Amino acid sequence: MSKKILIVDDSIIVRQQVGLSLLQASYEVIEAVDGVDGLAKVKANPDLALIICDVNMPEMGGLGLLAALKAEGALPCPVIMLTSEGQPELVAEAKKLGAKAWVMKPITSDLLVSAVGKIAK
Amino acid sequence: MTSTSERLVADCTTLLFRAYSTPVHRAADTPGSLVAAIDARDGALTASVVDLRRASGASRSGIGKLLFVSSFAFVASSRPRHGADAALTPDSARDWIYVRDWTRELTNQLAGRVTNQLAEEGVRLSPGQPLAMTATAASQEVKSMLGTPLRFTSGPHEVRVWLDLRLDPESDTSGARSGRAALREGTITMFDEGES
Repeated sequence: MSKKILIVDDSIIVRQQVGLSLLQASYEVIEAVDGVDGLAKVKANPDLALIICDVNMPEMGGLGLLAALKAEGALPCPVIMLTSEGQPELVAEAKKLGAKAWVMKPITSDLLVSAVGKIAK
Repeated sequence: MTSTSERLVADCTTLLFRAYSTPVHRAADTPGSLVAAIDARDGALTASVVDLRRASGASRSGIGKLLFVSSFAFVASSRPRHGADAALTPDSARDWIYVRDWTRELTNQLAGRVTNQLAEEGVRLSPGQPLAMTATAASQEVKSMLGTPLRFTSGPHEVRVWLDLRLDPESDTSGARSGRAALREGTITMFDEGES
C-alpha cells in the first residue's frame, strides 16, 4: 500500500507540481489549501506518512499548523516545511515545533522526492 | 526606488526567473502608462502586491510593499509544467485562475528572496499575503508606489517590479552582510543532518 502524504499550500500550481512529483514516485497525495484545512485533513486521515507544508498562507500559516498539532500532543507524522522564506528565526521556530526539514522553493522534483523518502514514516 | 530597493529587486527578480528557466534581463524604462505599455505589447495583464511588515521583536526593521506586474503570456510561460500540459489562454476563465495563482506565488517567492537577503544584512521584515490584482486595480496601486519600477524583459515579454521599502534609519545597510545567513533557495535542510 502506498504511503499517504498531505500537501498544504495555498497555491494551486505548487500543490499540482509537488503532488505530481509524489504521485510519480508512487505516493498517495491529498491536498489542503491552508493551515485550517490542513488541520481538518490531518484529523480525517490518521494514516498520514508525512505532511509537506507551506509557511506563509492565509487563515493559518504553516507554523500555526505545526503549533496547533503540537498542542494536541505529539505530531501525528513527520512534517517538512516547503517555503520561500529562509529567515533563521522562522527556521528555528519550525525546528522547535518538531518539523523534520526546511525546503526552500523552488526545489527540484528529484531533491524533494529524495527528502520525502528519507523522512516519511 | 532607493538604491537598496533597486539592488534587491534586480538581484531577486533575475534569480527567481532563472530558477524557473525563463530568464529575464534588466531593460531601460519606457515612458507612458505601465498598464497601457504592457497591454499593447503583450496582451492581458496580471499583477500582485504584497506588504512587507515589521517583524516582531526585530531591532532593525521597516515596512514595505512589493508590486509585480507582467502579462498573462509571460506568467503562464514561467509556471512549472509537466510533459504535455496544454498552453493557457487569456480567453479561458479557468486559465486565468491558474495565472493569477502563479502570479501570487511568484510575488510570494520574490518577497521571500527580498526578505531573506535583507535578513543577511541584519534587517528583518515579514511578508504578508500576496493579493492578485486586475489591470484596473494594478494601475491604481502603481499610483501609490514611490519611484519608478525596474523593468525586465524576456524575449517579447515584459515584467515590472516596484519595491517601496521604508527601512528604519539605522537599518539601511547598503548591502553589508551583518546578519545571520538565511537559507538558500533550492536547498533542503534536514534538521538532523544539515543542508543538502
